[in-house]
Amino acid sequence: MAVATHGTASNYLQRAPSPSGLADVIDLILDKGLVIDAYVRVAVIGIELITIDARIVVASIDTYLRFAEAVNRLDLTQTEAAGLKELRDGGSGDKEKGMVEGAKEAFSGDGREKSSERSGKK
Amino acid sequence: MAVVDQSAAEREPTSETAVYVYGVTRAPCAQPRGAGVMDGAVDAIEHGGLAAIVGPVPTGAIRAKRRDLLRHTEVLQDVFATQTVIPLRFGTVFDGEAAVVGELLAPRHDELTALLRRFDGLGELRLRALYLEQAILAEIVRSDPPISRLSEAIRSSGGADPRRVQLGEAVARSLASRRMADADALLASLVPQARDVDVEEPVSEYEVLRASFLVEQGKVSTFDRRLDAVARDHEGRISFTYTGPMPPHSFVALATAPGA
Repeated sequence: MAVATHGTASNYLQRAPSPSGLADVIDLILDKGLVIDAYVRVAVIGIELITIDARIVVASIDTYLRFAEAVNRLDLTQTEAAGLKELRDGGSGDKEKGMVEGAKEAFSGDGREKSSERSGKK
Repeated sequence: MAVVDQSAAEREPTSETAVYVYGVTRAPCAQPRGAGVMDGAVDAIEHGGLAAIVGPVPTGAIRAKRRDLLRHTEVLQDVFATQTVIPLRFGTVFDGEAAVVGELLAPRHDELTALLRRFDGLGELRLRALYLEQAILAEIVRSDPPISRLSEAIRSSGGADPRRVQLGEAVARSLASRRMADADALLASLVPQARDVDVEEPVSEYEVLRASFLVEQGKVSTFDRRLDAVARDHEGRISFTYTGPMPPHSFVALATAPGA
């Protein structure tokens, strides 16, 4: 087992004992589970979904333009500085959420709202 | 525990309530706490050593809400805390209590018993790994000189540079190859700790991996440590959502695909 190179907490990544949010649950129970196909009498309909961040990976001009746009928004001096800072400070046992937020802070130094890090944990 | 009246099986489905089935476990089933789908109480129908975890729902079309999705999971999770349970897909409804026995517990007794045995002592751990957009894009630009040059050129030209499509395509390609390599590496390090694995198609551009692992309950902490080490290696570039252990949702589906 690898020895933690930084941080003091025993676990860097926290395991949630059970699904907490809708995003966790949807793909788990709508597409999975035992299907008693011949015996289901009433189909559940009208599930008012619930926009999940499901931008399907499709090769399209739109996708390419979105990537180009995202790359253009990058502030590489910021990200490099952030990378160095991260190396220096270490993770200090932050939870996953902390890590995500840390990254947000580090990479959104220009004050722009970033919406891309929705992890579905809300 | 419901008493099943055999004559009920002959009745037309005109009863006020239908029976929602969450899953199947061995009898006796510890009573789950709290309300279930459509606010119904959660009960068990037992037959032949099996117990269907059930609750009343209105007949006819049911408009399930987000809360119902969560309730389905919570009820199963609650039972799973103390015993092996086979989760049914959300939305499985029978005409009445007699139908639960006559169409599920009795005719599928052997199959269900075998499934329960197969999943004894096992739980599903679910993992989603997602690139942090800014970090992975910065990594791509920094490590790929052509992309970096193109990006610079477009930046200085401003406006609607037609080369943006070319840049985006190159980024997409680089992202795809990174995803493949990272997903393979994650799986290579985690699969040996699991009995089985179910890898799903990524659903978003920055998703690295979405997978479920069937793990022995006694080895969950080993799996934790392994994943923890992997996650540290990717700190700042991949975020992980890690959940479980839970009933084997992903694996019962594989075991009894329709027609199997």
